[in-house]
Amino acid sequence: MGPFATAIQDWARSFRLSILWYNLALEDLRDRYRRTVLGLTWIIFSFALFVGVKVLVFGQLAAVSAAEFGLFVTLGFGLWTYINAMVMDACTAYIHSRPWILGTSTPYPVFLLQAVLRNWMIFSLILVVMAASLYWKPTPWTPAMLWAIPGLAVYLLSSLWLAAILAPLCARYRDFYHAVQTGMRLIFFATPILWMPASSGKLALIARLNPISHFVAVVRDPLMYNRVPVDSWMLVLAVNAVGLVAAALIYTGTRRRIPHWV
Amino acid sequence: MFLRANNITIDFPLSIVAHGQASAPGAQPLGGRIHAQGKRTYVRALEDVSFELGRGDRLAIVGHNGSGKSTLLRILAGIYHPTTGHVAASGSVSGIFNMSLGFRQEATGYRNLVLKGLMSGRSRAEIEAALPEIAEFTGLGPYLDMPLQTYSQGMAMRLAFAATTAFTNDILVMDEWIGAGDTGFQEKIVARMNDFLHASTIIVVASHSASLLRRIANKAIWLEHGSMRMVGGLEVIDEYEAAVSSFGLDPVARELVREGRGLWLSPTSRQLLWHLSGETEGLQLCVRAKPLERQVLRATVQRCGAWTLPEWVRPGMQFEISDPTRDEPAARCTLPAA
Repeated sequence: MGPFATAIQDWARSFRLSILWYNLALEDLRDRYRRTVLGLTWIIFSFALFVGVKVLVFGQLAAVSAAEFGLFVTLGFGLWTYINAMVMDACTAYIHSRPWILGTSTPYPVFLLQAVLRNWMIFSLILVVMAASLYWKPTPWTPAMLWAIPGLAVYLLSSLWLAAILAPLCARYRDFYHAVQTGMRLIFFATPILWMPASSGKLALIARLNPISHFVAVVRDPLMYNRVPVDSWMLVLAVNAVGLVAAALIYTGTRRRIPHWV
Repeated sequence: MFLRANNITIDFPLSIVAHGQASAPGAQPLGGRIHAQGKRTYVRALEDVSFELGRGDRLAIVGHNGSGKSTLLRILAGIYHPTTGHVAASGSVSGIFNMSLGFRQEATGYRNLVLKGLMSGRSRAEIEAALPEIAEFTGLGPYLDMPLQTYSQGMAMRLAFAATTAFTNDILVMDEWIGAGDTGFQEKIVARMNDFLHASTIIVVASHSASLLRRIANKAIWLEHGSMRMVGGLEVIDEYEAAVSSFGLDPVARELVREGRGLWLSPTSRQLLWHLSGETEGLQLCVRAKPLERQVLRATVQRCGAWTLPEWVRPGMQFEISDPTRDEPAARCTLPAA
């Protein structure tokens, strides 16, 4: 059997083990909030507080109405929270599953799917806050807003290939994790979340060059302005095509050596 | 049902450059062979290992530390992928390795049992049905509702053994720590192994406890530096024990001991030599001055050994290696009259 066939078999087996990665993801969340009183409400609480303070502080600098800026920050920061957490968890998906990788023959995609599902569990709570914030939407509600749904579907797909790329690389080269972490902090400021690209030409250029701002735009633009950002969609789809190919190559090329690296 | 290993070789890449003393000829008692290939250095943890097991076979793997036992078990369980060669099995292979592997320390014993069941592809309903019996087997009672990190090593081992064996389909591999439990649990282990025998499960077990292995296994492999030194039935375990126990003897005595069987007087020095066969647990070296007076000289004996005769030994004294609970000694030797 060729290496690609074995890799595909890994993924097929992993998808069939959905109840396993669902339970593992659930256990991760339980571990994180074990013995806390507020439990999962901490996610909603800390996110809402964070956004509130940001709007209060940075709203002073914004040229638009408080409602518009508030919604802009809530949506943008909600999406960013997911992207950032997902990228960092993708890095540690294999490293954190070391006890399982060295103790069982569970196919590795289970651990990637576990990381993705765990982040979506958290993201779904943040999405509740984001949906509530639409109450302050300055523009009318139209069917174009539904374009945010395929946008979120692309997030799901991107998370899978991102995990398949970053998990083995970070297990092999431990510096990679720190590099990614530092990079993500920088990218945060280069992404139109706390500032609006329309406010200056230079900022607009930064936003256009940063691929993450396009990922944010495909969900935020339809929700805020009832607009489908075609350019952003093109770029996001192109990134996904490249990402999928890279993920297939990296997963296939590394799967035999993962137990030596973790 | 079958489990086949075909010419398995595995290299582990080393990030550290090996130092000279490790590659000195004959001076490498532990580990696999270190070899360089291009710029990189590798440890050859296993070299050309092959065997075939069928329905109900129970294979014992013996060898000193670092001889490749655990690596072989992990390859059989599908955790490591061999560099060359391959493993073929008729079903899924489950394994019990180090206690820190395959369990969540924060979760309760019950929760870990459920996760273990899901890992082996059981449905939630099947797991729920099996839980009471597993709980009974572990004997952990109320501790099953507590997080695993509160368990002692032995308690965690009980849980691991119970969980893994309960959800084993056909093939089970176990690493050496299985001999670590208390006597009560060891008996449970052997009893369950015999259940497996009736269910014609294939078992591969690595251990340093030769007496435990003899009770479980019907075939054995002796690994040395990652290669198969000997394959066969339980006599392999005897041979291994003989080699290990004669290692501490002086070279002359070692040669003599390997050759002979039983208990005899060394022809070249004032030493008693022995090389036993069969079970050695419970055996003692003793002297009989009178037929009914049994004086113990060594409370335990290994398969091979030597005992230097002290000054008080007189011609005609009768030495024996025997179990105090049995009548017939395992070996006997009377010093010739001068």
